[in-house]
Amino acid sequence: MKNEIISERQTTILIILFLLGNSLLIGSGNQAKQDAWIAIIIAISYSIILVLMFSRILSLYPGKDLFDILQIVMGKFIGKIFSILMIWFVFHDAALIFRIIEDFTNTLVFPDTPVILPIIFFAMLVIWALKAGIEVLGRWAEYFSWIIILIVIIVPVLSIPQMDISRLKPILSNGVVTLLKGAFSSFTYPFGQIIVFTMVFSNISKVKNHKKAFIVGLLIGGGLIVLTVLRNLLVLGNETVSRLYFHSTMAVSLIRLGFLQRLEMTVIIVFLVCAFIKVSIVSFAVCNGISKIFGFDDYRFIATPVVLLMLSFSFFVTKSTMETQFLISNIWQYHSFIFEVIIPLIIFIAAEIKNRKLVIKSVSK
Amino acid sequence: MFLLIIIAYIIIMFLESVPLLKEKNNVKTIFYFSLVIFSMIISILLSLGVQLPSPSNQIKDIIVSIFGKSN
Repeated sequence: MKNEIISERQTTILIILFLLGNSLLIGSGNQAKQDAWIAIIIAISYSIILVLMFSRILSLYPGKDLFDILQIVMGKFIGKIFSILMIWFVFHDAALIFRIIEDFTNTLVFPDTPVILPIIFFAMLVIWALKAGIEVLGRWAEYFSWIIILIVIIVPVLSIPQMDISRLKPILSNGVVTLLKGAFSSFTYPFGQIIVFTMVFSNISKVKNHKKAFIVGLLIGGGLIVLTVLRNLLVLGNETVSRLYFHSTMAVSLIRLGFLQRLEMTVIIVFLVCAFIKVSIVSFAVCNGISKIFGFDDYRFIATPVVLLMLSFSFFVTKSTMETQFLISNIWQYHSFIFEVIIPLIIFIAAEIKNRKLVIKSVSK
Repeated sequence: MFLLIIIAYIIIMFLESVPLLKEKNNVKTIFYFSLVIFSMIISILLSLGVQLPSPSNQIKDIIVSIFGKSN
């Protein structure tokens, strides 16, 4: 298990597909109405600072992930408590992702099937991916990445005949406060979720510097999200976007160019691949964390109960699609801000102080 | 319906415990079985239709009381 190697390109691709996870479907920064694309660009610039902080924490303790760093920097007991908090946050997040997949499947893909059946197959694949290890996941993601990125770039180009630039105007008519609210919401979800990668990256030995992989992945993933949100706004307009749950499907179904009709299948394929990668990586983080807290060196044997627990959890974490929508657009941003920014800030400050002490000690010797 | 769930979990337990028991690490085995039984209990309760308390309700109440429902 310690010998899993991912190359730097696979890391970047995993980050891109992770960021594309849900945002292609449900959009990001929806509170800013028609300025959502500006909000996302602002959020990208703030998350670059956040990601630089993460990579600095990781480079101070090479070869260790966030749970090890927590126990080194804060002592065993407090480190374990913080680890439990982070694991709880990531677990809750994974249950929400499962919930969104279930809502999507139930609404658009298989409306008449009881939703437990496709989800159980999905969960079996996730368990298989966990037991195979992150190396297999990296190679799989590299194989599929070209198809996904091509689809995400070409399909908006096909819908140019339906675009109407007057739907973007008037720019900033809702005021700067809504824009900032949208930027905050977009900053915590999806860009802040890169913290999950700090919990997973202890096994990469070929990567010398996480900074480049993080920033390139962030920029490309963020750029693709801006492209998709712009496409949705230009084709559908602000009113429709704020009323639908899944904008991309509606936007893609309007494409009619000769024989190129009913292209929603592309949206579904892209969403399934990206959601699978997102769930797998988040489940990796949970299993890794649980095995590090209890002192095991292997995370694979608890893959099955953890994923099944997430599955059961996803059925009662929210009771309906509307509640999920309310949770994600209004509440999740404040809740995840604590875990994605404040706790890493504490770790960063503590790690820097410890590093200074070590440097002073070694210089004085 | 919940008989199916119990049967499925027992099959999973049998399939997975064979390599675990070969390793002869008692702590691992106990931990694994406790997690699986916990997961099984929650699945059975869900299939019987019991309304389990969801933590997102508590989080929602806390955050709405601080920030208000203005969004």
